[in-house]
Amino acid sequence: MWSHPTLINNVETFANIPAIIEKGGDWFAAIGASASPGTKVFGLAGRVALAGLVEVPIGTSLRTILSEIGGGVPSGYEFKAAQTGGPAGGCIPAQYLDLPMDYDSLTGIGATMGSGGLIVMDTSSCMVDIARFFMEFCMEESCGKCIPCRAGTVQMLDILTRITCGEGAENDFPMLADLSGLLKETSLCGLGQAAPNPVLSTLRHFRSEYEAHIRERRCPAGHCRIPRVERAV
Amino acid sequence: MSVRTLEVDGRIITALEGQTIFSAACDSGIHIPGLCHLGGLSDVGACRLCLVEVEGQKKLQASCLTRVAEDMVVRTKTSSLMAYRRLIVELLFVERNHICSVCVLNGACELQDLAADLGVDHVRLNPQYPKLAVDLSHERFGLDHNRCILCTRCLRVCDEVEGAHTWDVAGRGRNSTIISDLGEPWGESVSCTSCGKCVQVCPTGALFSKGKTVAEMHKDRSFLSYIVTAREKKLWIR
Repeated sequence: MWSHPTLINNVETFANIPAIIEKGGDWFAAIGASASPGTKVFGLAGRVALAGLVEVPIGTSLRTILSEIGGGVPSGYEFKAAQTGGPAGGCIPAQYLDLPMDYDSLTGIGATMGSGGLIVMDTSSCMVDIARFFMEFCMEESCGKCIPCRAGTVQMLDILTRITCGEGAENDFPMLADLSGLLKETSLCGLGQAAPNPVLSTLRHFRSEYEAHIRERRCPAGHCRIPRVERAV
Repeated sequence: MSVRTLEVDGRIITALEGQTIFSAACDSGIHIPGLCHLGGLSDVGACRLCLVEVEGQKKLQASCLTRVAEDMVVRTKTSSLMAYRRLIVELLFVERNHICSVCVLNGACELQDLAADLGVDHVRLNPQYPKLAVDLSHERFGLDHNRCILCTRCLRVCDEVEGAHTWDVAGRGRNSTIISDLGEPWGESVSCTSCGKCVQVCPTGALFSKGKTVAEMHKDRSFLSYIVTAREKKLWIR
């Protein structure tokens, strides 16, 4: 910029630099997990007593962040999943509460660290509707230059909306898989490549919710309004 | 210029240094599909139809933008690539109204030919078919947004070859549209020279000449290589 060498980086990275200069690289590398040292700032939000920005050593478990820093899930609610990495990230279901939150572990279960978003959801959240919500976001953010992202997000949103309205069909499963693969592999930039992540992640951990919507026209979380159909006796 | 040797679909081909995989393959008779690429215009890699597998690269590469390298191994027709191409064409057909039987370019359309080549004979996705305007304000040409695939060939030929830069893209995502000048009707554009190059390079029936029947409608893209070659060689007639 202005004919000078320019460092373009994430604000979070810049914020780490003064402390590293002051205390040294060894000090920074000693914090966190061995494969991914340092700290990470999470934006803790959703169904949690104390929401806000929290900085923890990388590798801290979700349970520690939730209960010790976030004050736990308020009484009367039950933890269901946490969405990490923002709208193009993935979800962490309850069985992975003790998983260390580092880059490799999160990628291993189909979630991402991404922007550090951490949205806590309770059992009243419908995972199909969550996927639909994030797909709508990605569709609106698509610039429209490449076809897979521009038209693919529209179609994926269309399918997810139908499922949440109780109009899903069995062949929506292979179609969602095909479109997810296309967007991931052929989109021009990271937005389209990551847009199917919430769908893939909820299909992986909460496939039964999709099946309930499609096969039984029922939303297990009681969130989606699916009109009742009178069955002939 | 030095020569590079590479393998494309199991065949050893030669290419000039700096040439793209797309044009090198084309020169050797290996056809790679594409809708945004047109020889003589800059490449944007937007349609994603020309993606190929390059050995040693994790991601698929747009062959219109990737330069050849010595001993490169390229695959252009794997089953997964063909499946991606079919799905991209299907996405185009449901994005806007591409009903061939009532299109001015029926029989001479690149999108239609590509669908036929790839075997896309029906769509499984939900057609969106937004009701978009048809701009007939220009004296000689028309623009039907319903047939537009946003390849931006018109934009590039107008900017790079004609030098007028009448066309641009407005909006984003699914609301992207081609506009003339600052969104005025085409007929009122002050920058348009009415040269008609945009009409000739348009792969579909989005840009068309008025007063021609479907049988008369065909597009001539040979003028482009003629102009570009003449420019490079400075073959100006005084």
